[in-house]
Amino acid sequence: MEAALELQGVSKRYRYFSLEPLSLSLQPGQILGLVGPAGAGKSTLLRLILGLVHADAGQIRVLGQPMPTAQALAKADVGYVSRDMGLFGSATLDWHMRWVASIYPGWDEALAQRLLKHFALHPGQRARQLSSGERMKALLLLTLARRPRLLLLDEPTSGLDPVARQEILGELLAVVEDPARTVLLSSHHTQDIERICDRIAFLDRGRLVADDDTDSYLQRWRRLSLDLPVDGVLPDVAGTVELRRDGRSAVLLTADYQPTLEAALSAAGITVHQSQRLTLEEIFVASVMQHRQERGE
Amino acid sequence: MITRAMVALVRKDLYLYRWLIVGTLVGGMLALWLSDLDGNVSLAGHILLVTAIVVLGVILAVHGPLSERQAQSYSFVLSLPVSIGQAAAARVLGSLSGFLLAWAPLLLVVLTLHDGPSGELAWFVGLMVFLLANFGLLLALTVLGRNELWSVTGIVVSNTAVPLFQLLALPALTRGADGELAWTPQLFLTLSGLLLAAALALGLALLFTSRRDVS
Repeated sequence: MEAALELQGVSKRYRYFSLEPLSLSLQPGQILGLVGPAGAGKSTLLRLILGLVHADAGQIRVLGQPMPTAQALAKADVGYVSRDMGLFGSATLDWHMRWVASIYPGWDEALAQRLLKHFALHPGQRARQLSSGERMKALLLLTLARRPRLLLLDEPTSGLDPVARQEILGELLAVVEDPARTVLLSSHHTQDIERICDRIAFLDRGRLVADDDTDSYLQRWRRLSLDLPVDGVLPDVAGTVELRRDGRSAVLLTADYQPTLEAALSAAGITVHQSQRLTLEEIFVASVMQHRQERGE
Repeated sequence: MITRAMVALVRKDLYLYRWLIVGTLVGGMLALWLSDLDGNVSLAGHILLVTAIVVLGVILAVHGPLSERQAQSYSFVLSLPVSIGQAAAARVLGSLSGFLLAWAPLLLVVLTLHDGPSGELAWFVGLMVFLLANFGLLLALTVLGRNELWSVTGIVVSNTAVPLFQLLALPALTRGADGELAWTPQLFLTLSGLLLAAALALGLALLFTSRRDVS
């Protein structure tokens, strides 16, 4: 099956930031969360995918189309919403809906009307009168009603109040239920990503730090509280990211937890007091710190 | 090739600036009527005509892109099925259409009011064509420019050029052998050169814009 999104060795260099060669593939129906701190390169990556920025090296294909050369063709099936995006201030939402519908033959008017009600938006309201939450909902409405095959969302819930955030997340959860829809969601809200995405990539300082299934992250990363034997010897544990020792007690953070690990530790005379799963946020922070340490940054 | 999305972008510009276009048309008609009267009223008509067309040009060429940048609606435009080059071309077409929608009927009125081979017609047509070329150059500068400095520079240069042309160049270009206002080869040559320069500047601006990143 043709990938919905394919990046091979894509890099981009700016004066004070560079996106290091990055390869990524997204199959139709996958929901990828892109997590990274501010300035990690998430927006740059999305702009490269959309063809708004030319890569210095590498290749990008969106729905089989080479970017940025075929961006007009590719974007007919791509929906892009960014937290920085705005509408035409003096025009009403109703005008925006009719205007976008005139561009997309597949415009879903029933969905647009449903979202209008669900988001409690008023068609006669001018774009400049919308709050940031309403603006984001309006943008999402205008994007989802186009029925795009690939949805690119750049921090759509950033800076929104909790209610607006939940409303938008609720709608996104409905979107990702459609198996034909591919989504790339960038956010630094790890809770949002965890709820929606089935795959997560961590980006830090322009580098792809990790890329795996959501469940796999949550399975593999564990914090183990240990009681060491009298000699205090702790055998090497695969994937150890952090080890803190205090006398015969130790707390070990591993990125490669296997169900057999606890038995192996017991055999070595080590008591496992607690085996604790990490939250995605903890996994993200630990991954980034480990990656920076490995690179001597 | 002009795509459905490009047509929509042109329609968008015409919709957003519809009242400005209508206002310019009404103001321009009033100015032309005044310019046909005698004395100081005629002078006021000339000034009003030039002001109306210059304001239209500045708002279409400068305010449009600036407000889209501030409201970040340009990002929304680029999420539509258009390339960066197509979006820039649509902006040029939209602004140019808006300008011509007011400029062309006013020129028609000029041709009607000053019917016949009078030198006054040469002066008016010369001024109108100069205002069109001036708008084209300003538009090229704002399409190419990436920040407000370009726009401010464009406005200053454009607004300085209008009175200079009107007061210094146009009288010289329309002075016939007998010293009266007349159509002259220099006028044709200058206006053709200005229109060509504006078309070239717009073409180059679109070429550069389509090949660079969106800031």
